[in-house]
Amino acid sequence: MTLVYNLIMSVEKPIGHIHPLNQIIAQTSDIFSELGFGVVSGPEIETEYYNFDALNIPAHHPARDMWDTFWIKDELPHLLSGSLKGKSPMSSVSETGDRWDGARPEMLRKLLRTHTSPVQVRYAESNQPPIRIIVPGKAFRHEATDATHEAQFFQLEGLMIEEDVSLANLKYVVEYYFEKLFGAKVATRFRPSFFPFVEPGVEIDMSCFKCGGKGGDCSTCRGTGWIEIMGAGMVHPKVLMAMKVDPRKYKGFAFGGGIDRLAMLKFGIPDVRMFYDGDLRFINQF
Amino acid sequence: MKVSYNWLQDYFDKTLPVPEKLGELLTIHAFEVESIEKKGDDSVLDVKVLPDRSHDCLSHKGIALEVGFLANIPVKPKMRDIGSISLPESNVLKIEVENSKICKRFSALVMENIEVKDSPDWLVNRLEAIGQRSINNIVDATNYVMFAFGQPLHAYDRDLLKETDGGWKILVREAREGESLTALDNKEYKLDIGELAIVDGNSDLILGIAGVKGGKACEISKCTKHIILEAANFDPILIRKTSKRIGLRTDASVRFENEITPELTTTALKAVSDLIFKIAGTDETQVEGLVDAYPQPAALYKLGFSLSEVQGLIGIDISYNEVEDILVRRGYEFKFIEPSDLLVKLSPKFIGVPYKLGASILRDAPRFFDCSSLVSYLYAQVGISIPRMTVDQLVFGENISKDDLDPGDLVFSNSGVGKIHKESIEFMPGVQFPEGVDHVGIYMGDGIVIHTSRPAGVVVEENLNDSSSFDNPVGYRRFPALQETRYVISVPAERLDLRLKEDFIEEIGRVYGYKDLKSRPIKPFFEKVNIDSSDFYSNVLRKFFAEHGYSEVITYAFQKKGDVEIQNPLASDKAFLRSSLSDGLGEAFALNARNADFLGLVEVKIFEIGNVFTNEGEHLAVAFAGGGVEEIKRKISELNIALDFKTENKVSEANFSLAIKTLPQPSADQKVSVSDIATAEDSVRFKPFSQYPVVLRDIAVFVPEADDHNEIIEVVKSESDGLLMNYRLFDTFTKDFPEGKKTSYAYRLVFQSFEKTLSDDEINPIMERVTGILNSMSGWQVR
Repeated sequence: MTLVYNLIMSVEKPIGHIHPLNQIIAQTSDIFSELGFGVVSGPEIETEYYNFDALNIPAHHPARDMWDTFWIKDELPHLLSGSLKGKSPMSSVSETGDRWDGARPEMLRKLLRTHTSPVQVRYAESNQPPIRIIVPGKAFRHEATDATHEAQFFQLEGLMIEEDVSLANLKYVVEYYFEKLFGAKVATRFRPSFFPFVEPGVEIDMSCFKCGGKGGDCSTCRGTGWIEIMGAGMVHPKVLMAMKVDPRKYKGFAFGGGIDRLAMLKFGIPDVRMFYDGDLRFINQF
Repeated sequence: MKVSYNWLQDYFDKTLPVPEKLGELLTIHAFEVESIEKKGDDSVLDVKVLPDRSHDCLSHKGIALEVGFLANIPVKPKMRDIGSISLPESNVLKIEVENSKICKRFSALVMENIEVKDSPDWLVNRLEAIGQRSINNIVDATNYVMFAFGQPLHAYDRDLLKETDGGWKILVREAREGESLTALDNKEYKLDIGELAIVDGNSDLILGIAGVKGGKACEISKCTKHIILEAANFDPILIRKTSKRIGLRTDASVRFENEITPELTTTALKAVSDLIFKIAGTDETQVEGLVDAYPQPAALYKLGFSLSEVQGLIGIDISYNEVEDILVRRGYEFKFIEPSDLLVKLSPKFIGVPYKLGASILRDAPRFFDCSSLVSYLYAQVGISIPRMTVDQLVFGENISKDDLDPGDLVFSNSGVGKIHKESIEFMPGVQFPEGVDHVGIYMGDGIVIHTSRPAGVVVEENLNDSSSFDNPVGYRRFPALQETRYVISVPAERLDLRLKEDFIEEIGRVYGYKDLKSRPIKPFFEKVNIDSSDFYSNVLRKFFAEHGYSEVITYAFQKKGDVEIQNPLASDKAFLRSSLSDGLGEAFALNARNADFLGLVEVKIFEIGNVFTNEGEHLAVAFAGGGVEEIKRKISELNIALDFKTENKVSEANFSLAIKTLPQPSADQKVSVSDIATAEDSVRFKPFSQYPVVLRDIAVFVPEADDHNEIIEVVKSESDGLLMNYRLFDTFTKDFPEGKKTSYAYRLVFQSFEKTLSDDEINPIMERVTGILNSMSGWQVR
């Protein structure tokens, strides 16, 4: 069996260890700052409006099923750390058959954010383009936990809005990031996908940094040569409008992925629950 | 969506690529294929169809069109378009739809003298391949057509409905208080007021919950001779709410809640009646007639885009030829046009069309217009999507002067006839336009404007300077897209996902292939990079704690008690959000204290920074346990961070958000660098640790000054059969011996097995061997 020699070697001045997720976040922030992206944070208890409606995920739309949600019991208006400005960008059912129901009291219902994407909207409401931000932070999904699923996890969201931005720019940015994070030359592959807040929407696969994309009997990529790593796309015009950004003038891309998954891949961690056990036998290895 | 490979092959003359290749093609260009399973001589692909394509691709036909498109294999024309049924109106069946907003179309077919029996093998196999159980030939036929076309169908035994005056009647109405249905699964479902019921119009018996489940009352049985086949279109939101409330998701409800085009019903009825003739037909079988309640047929939707818009959004140098090749392959009906020319040519054709305030573009055009619907409709015909309302058109357009007016530009006025709007409503809501606007027309050149108004009553052509509607002009606008050659696509009815130009650009991009997308660097950023205070100061504290020997933990936000309760917790002991970090950190401290020896720690020291939730709101908290509490407090205050730590049960916690509010906004050059807080090397890989208890031994050895004391551990390692998990040097001192100076090195050794609990019987022999070897080394002496 492998020895765990690298735990603590010094007795005179023991040095504490930063949680591996925060190490990844720190490294991520550094890499993105080289590209002009700053870090932004926001509340973990969100309103339905910011978590869903403003992101073009209307109530009663089947797309909502893509995010299993923890709802907060009781109305505690003061829990909300921002005011609901602007309401919905859409009025009732519009001519094009859009199902925006307009601003309704239900949009103030509170939930645990299912992604850090709401912070994009909050930020853009008060900051006009050019915008380059990342939002690393805790998010929650109502799902049973196992080795690859956790009810709480960390998400990395990114947003860039300028006059001239394309999917090809997105590819540049994510490849730059992965290469620096994994310390190896990586390629990315975009596949069509659907997220209501982007159009076009893509799933990003990263060539396996372990086997160099060769596959074979590589355990990191299960022999496929590719690792599914992020969802992304060009920001939907309706979301730009919810951000009070003029879609005639600006375009943007957004991406989002699990930081837990990045850390698991980078360090070969087999079980996501280890991040939250508070066990130094795990943390002090990093 | 389970897709049968053999079923797909029906759509093509040419042999399809093998299932694995097909799966790859779909995954790269359309949908993720999650698995491919061999079933007899068939293969079943599990295709992950996401909500945007659930309008058209929860069907074999939808997938087949996609496959033909991507593999560039033509779909058999008779499979692409089977046409819709056209028949005389039924003489015996009446349909009444109470509210056509929630039931846009209800089509029903009466078939007489059919024979109910088992389905033929091919049909049983097809259904079984995709996980469906065969019931009888009629029910199987309706299911087969649903999985082929995506249109749910239902069959009723006509003779089990009540006959009145030689006729039958089906009523679609909202459920009333206390109504319920005994469904085909023999379960009883209570309906809520407002949910949609299918009812026997002559007896008021509930026959089914619209779009979700059929009832037992008119079930097809061996005795059935005459049937009524239903193909309807129900409101997605209503069906979703009903299905969620009663906890019943069916293949039908899933399709309705994702919205399907009402255009499908008669196509599906044609397909199902053809099939029933084949597999349930007798010499006397006949279609008696059709009833089609479809008061407002869906309008054809048009979309447009220019080559530069595709190139700009995706970031590719795609050519006209490549775009057209893609459009032709999918069979899109499209035109390549000069928008302003076409606009000028088209507009006069609508002169004389009657005025109707609030005329809908989807339902009323081109039979009725108001001023802004006329403009919006005309622009849609040339592939340019502009807002529907006058004030939004004004805000959306590019400001020009009257002298610059070109054909196709818009002229706005405050005519005083309509409602004056001073603020945008749908496009960038809330943009102010103080003068107000109520009227718009389209400029044709040579001083001519085409517009419609209530006073005029119809679309008219007038001289701009003479028209009373434009006495009080408030602005002139242009849409730059007008100047560029454009593709205009007639969107197929079933493609409800194609509503914006971005939607269509995706269609081009994904078929062209994102794999050929080359990365393009972004421009340098000259703005100030945003620095988040919470993030910055959290890192300051992380660095501080790590330097003082504290390790960082992240514990769960869910607790069994707290101020903020979860409405739908995963478990009763996770029903609240933590109101402090103390409980989680206290538990982690106890856990690690038990493992201190294994960890090689004299003392466990941990900290956590994270959000907590109290009756006062959400805030960032910081807490630590272990070590010298007063010393830490003092040192943090020396950092000028005002944290008011409260200590309870070994855990000291403070409200970090309060402190951050009093701290200056950090600037970019103050950034806490990654190397300050990230300790893990890129090469570090997780190593599993054992759950069995550890056995400890101390060993102290005098080592001559000239020798390397690391040899002690090397010897232990080589003698320990891989059981040495960790060690810690805990004491050294030097002493003069007659033969020279020697240093005593005292180590604590941690033994542990991955397989079992170790006993002295295993460790003592190791220690004896180690002692023997070390003592045999010249000048070395185990104490």
